Amino acid sequence: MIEVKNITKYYGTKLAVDNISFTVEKGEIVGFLGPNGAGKTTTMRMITGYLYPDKGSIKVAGADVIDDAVEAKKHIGYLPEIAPLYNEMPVKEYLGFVADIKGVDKDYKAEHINDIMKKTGLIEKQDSIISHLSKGYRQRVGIAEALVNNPDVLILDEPTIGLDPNQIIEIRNLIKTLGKEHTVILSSHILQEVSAICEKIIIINDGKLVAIDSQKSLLEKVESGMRVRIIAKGDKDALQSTLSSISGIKNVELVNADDSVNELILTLEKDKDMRNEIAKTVINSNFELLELSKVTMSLEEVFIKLTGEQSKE
Amino acid sequence: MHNIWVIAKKEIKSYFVSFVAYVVLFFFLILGGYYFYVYVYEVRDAARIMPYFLNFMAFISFLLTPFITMRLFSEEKKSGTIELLLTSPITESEIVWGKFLGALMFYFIYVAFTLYYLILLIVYGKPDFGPIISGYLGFILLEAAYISVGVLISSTTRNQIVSGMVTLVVLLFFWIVGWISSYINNLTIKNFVSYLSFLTHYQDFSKGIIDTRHIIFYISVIWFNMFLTVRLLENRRTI
Repeated sequence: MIEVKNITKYYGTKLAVDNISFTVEKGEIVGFLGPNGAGKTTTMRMITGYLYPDKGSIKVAGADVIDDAVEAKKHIGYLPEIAPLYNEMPVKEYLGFVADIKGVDKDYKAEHINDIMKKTGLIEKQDSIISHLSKGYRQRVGIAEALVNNPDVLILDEPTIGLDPNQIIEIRNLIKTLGKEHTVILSSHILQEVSAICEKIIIINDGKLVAIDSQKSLLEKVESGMRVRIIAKGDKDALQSTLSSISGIKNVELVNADDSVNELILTLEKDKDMRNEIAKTVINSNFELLELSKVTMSLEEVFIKLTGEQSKE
Repeated sequence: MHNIWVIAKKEIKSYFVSFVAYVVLFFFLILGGYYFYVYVYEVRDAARIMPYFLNFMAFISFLLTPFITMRLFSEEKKSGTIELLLTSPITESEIVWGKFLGALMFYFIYVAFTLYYLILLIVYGKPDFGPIISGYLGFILLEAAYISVGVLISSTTRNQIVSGMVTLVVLLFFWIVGWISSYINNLTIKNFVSYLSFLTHYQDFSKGIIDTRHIIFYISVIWFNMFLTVRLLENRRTI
């Protein structure tokens, strides 16, 4: 659906995007992840044809975004970082204008706009002037704008920025349902967001592509060995030395000790699952085992690891 | 064509949402009304009043133009809505011509009000229609050329005030360039400079002469400015 080939973009002498290539298949929800200033917005703007790359080419639904711009743009719905709203217009009129410039059929327009307003929860606000709406509703109008004309590809630049927690959850759910019918690319610097919505993740840092993979394999790739968290009652030094003596445990770390209730994180050697052995050893050594669980690495750690590795190079 | 009309329609609507349109129309209609009254008393010849009046309108129109054109692209750039227009399946020239047409149509509303004076003259006297028709034609071409300058300048900045002020200065230049030419001794330069004056080309129209050379001049100015604006919008390697 989207083919990005070797795109490079300079702002003056500053390199903003450095030779990035990737493809996005139909129906994927892809998260664009990177710290602020990594080149996310620039890349998205190039995909939508708002900015032209200095080198490289981009195709959306088979059409080149520069040479065949009108055709490519027919397939794209784009929500920029700041929703492009005409503040003086009522919601319905605004969406009507967007439908007109996107070439929505006249006979079908009213029904189409109504559908979109239903999807984005804007029905009761359809006659409100946009400048009177709250941030959350403005963002919905922005998403509704991107949905006009049923584009195959939705490009959402930081769709939940500036919203309150309830609104964030609402918008995330909305994007998830949209992902069933559209190909979605969304950018974020918030990791939980990407891990909550996206199947595939593209990490960029400093204008460079750091990783592109599914969330699961990205985690597996970075994770070196299983980690187990246990909470046990007893003398903390004795507990630590008991655990260290088990072969196959690389590291024992005391995270929390309170009234002889200790929390520890154990790192095991690669490809080993020793939860059963750990539990037995703890109990046999007369400690009270309160909790034992597997620790999954968060995307945040993956991110830090990947971007950190890159800057070390 | 459809897309141009969609953009033009949006522009007209947005003029009437902001109070600026009403204030500007009010101010210019008051001024026009007062001068019409003055001409009626001074000239006292129904046949000649309207050409005089149109000359005056042509003069004050260049003051009106920056108010009409300053927001066209500047506002879209500032609010980020330009991003919507440029990523929609319409071409840059459709956007530019749509904006131009919208501004010109807003100006027609103002021109339509002046028809009221014409009706008064027809009712109370016998105006000479030749110079009136050519006068209106020249006057509209002149204003269309002014607007094209405003459109171009508005596409270069996101600040409406800067856009308006620069437009005013540029139009003022093209207005006084005719006077400057009378101080130039070199005949070639003199003719060239006086050819640039928007006013020189208007004068024949007000005398009742429709000369294709003048029509071509205004259309070239409009086309040139539109072309440059489209080029500026298309050049998106840096924004």
